[in-house]
Amino acid sequence: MAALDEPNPTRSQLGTLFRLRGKLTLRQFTRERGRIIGAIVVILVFAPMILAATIGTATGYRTLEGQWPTALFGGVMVALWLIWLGFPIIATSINESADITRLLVFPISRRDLIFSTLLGTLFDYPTYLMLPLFIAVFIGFGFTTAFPVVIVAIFLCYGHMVLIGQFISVAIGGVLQSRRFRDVAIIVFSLLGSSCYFINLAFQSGMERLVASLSPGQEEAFAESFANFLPLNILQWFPTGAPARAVEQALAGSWGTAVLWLLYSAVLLAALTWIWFHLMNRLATGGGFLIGGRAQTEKEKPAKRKSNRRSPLDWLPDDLAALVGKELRSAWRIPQRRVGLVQGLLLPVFMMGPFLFSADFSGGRSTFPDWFGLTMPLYALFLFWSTSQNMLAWEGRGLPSLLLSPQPRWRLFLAKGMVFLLIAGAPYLVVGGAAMVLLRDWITVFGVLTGLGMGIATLAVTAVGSVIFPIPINLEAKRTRGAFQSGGNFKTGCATMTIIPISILVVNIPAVAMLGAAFYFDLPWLAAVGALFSLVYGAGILYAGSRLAGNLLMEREPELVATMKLPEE
Amino acid sequence: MNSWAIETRGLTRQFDKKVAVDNLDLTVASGEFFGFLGPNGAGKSTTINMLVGLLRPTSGTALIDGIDIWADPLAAKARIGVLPEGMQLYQRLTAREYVRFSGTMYGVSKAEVEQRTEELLDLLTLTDDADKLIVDYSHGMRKKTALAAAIIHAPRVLFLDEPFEGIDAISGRIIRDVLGRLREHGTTIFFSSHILEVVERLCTRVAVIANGRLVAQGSMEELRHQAETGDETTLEELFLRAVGASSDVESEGRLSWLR
Repeated sequence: MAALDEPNPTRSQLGTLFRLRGKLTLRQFTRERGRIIGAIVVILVFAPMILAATIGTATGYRTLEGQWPTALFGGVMVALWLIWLGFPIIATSINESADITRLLVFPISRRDLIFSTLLGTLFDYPTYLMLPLFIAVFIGFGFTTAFPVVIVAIFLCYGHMVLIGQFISVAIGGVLQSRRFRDVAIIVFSLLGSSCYFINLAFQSGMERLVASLSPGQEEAFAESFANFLPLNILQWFPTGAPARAVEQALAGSWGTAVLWLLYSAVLLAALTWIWFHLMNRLATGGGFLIGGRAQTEKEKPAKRKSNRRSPLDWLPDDLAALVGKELRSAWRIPQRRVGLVQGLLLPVFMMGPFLFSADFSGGRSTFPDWFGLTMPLYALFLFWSTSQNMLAWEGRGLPSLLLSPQPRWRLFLAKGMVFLLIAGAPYLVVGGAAMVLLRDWITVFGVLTGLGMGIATLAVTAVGSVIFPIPINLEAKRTRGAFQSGGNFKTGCATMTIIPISILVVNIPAVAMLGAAFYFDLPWLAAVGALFSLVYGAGILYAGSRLAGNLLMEREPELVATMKLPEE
Repeated sequence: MNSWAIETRGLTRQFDKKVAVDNLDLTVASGEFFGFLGPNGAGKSTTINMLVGLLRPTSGTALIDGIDIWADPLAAKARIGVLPEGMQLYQRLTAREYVRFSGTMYGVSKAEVEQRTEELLDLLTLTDDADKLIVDYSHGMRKKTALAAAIIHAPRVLFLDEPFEGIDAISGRIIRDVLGRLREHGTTIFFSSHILEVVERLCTRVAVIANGRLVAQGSMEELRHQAETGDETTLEELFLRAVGASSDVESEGRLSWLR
């Protein structure tokens, strides 16, 4: 009997692996055409920035004097390395299409695997954005006597950068992919984005205070210490800072020291590569990630005692209480929704910030404009709309389960309306209450109450809108950057941004009309009647809207289930 | 009024040009444990989705306990329990919360929901993990949670789409035992599976679907009679014969390079 075909370990698979990467990358665009648009947007947004950075650094390398060209080189390389180190944390994976663990089942040599992974990074976005900065290094130092050192330095820096992302992914992938990390990351990054305003304010005022606190003598001392500062003394110890020191030494003619610094960087690269590969092997053979790879053994929890306490929802019929309870839990446990809750609280600060920061409350009265109370309905409309839009999609994968139940559909929307009233109404009333206390005028009091009624009516419109123009939301995206990934089509998106807001405005005209008339004719009693009417009108519209949305849902359930399926389902 | 728990007449579903289910006439009597078999892509899940009201048929009717699910969906849905293929659960609820929620949605009283939830969680060995979020559950735990939610209201008709897929032996045994109890209590079970041994052991009657068409229907004896085979013929052999499948692996020259 002949022997089995022996794998040929001497034949390099590098070409095959490289082609595989290319094919997978290409398929991402052919299978998901939307990515082409995404790529164009990325290029349009980042290309000018990268171009500017390339020209700027190249100019800096050639024109700066003394230690600064190589210090700049070291600074840029270390900054890029830190960005690559941070990439897996914010995006989980830098590599779009390579999962090396899948290749470990094949008889591929370690060398081929490592080189194919490194070469494969040429297909990644971050690489495109990084390469021009290497070209700038070449322009800056390549036409000098240090040319050979510069070339080695560039390759070392590139190797370090692409490897560090891989290393972090493999080392702490368990943490990065865990639901808890993802939940926290979604909340932190979302709030960080929306908090730029505050961060900017804090930074600006901090700098102003620092500059103001410096005396003329201190300013000179500060400038002198800056001039004497030798950044490469610190940067040289980073894997991508050492090559910059090597270039500096080569330019100064100290070739031996230059080689030593390159060697230092190369040894670090080799060590990291070795550790990375072994971690990869560990992962592929079921050892899990280095950190967060295995489920932690949970501490024994004491058995839950049955509580006899009455739930605040007990006054509701059982079905409504169950629906409201489920909705409240979802609003808190789904990180994207929790972000919405927090942003709902921050919204008034953004919207009213200019008034609040510029207002003068001295003398017991504010300098707010007379009509300020009229803005409360607008705030209510925006808050209730933004909180409750696409409300059905937040059911996520549970939607079919809900639709399998024999529950009258209008009650689903009534329950949702009650929850949204609570989670949008609470911050609204806090802000409204604050405005009433600060302004102490009848238009604000009745403006807040009228706004509440309009907010309730808004929930009816968004309920109907969620059935007619649903947009699926991926609540369990594995990656933080995909957390808000959703489907839907162009028509649905346009309708969400046009028809629904217009409908909200039209539906609320009767509710706000009396408030407007009361302000115009200065009739507080009319505003009071208008506020009462608005609340009753809002409740009525919510009931009618829930009925309508329920009927529409009954007619469209299978279509809605199909629409809500995410691409990967 | 007839005694069919499930009845379809000319049930058809077309996706663009592909006919996924073609003119399906099917009857399942009350209390039957009905196996619904077919190769991948034959139309099993499409049929179940049409029967439970999650997929609109292109034509035809589907009656549950004599009620047209597309004419009176809420009345029909009140009579059924479903373990769908994708197990679409609320990922951010715990098993206990989800099962309770499901019971309440089906109109079971609060006290009953409490008692049945604990009993089901215990029976399905979920009690220790009942307060963990479903998103953190294994496949088997999700399946058991979905089953508990599907039967908490003691449905008259239970639809199970691949209940044993991806399930370990222990969970499989538990689910089989639960299904056995349901059958004893007269629940009609409509059951699709690829695991023919389980179907052969549990089901009283079987239907085979291939390319969207019903190709065989009846008890094991009836199927053997239709196929004109002996008593020893297994369901697998009957199934392969019904769907017209054969394996050419034994043919001369095939895989000869496997020296």
